[in-house]
Amino acid sequence: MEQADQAAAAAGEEHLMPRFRFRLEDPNSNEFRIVVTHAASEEEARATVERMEAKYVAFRMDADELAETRSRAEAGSRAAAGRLHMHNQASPYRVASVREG
Amino acid sequence: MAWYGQGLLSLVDTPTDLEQVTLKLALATSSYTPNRDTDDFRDDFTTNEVANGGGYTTGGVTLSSVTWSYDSASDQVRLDFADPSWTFTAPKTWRYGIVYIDTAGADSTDTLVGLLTWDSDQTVSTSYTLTIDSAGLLYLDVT
Repeated sequence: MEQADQAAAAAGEEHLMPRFRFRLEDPNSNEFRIVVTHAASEEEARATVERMEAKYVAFRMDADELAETRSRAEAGSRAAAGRLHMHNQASPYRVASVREG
Repeated sequence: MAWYGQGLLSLVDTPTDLEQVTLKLALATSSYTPNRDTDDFRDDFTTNEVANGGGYTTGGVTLSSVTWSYDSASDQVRLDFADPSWTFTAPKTWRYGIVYIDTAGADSTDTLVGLLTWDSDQTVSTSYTLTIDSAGLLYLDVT
């Protein structure tokens, strides 16, 4: 089976897998994330969540986008405020709880 | 990326669990004229899908590691998945990416979910990975 077919087969089977609901909390603020995903095991689900958090930590805006986002956040945009929070996120949120089902 | 109107309605109107269904990302050429008001199923773009072969399979790639999340800092509900990729062995040109629910049935039953639009035609003949934004590909503002 080719690589693409294997990936497709694995992804296609996700709907048969158990569902995991994570609560992640920012150690530096009161912000949190709830993440729901399907995976073969809690370890696999946790790896997906950790990959997501790594993307958040790596996220940075350039100077122009940062200035524009700050402006929108100051005008009251929650989406912009969230993007600023992502820009400033220096470490992954911690898993506070995980529930299967 | 932007929601297809009727696709979003179907997600809200029915207990569709997007991490439980098979989501796919297909590529379409500039011949496709998206209409997010009226396009509702896959048969709305199949005639304009990138041709099968050369590393592209009709129907596109299955999306993996699908997650729904709620982010309190932005008050957003987000749909995210692992970065999809293709290994092209011949030049492939596309303008649009379409996320849809694959029912494994007729094209006319595969609900369109999201539309990704590039500013210009993209032509690639080697490996290609679509890097999904850190905040996911689609989101809903709760506020």
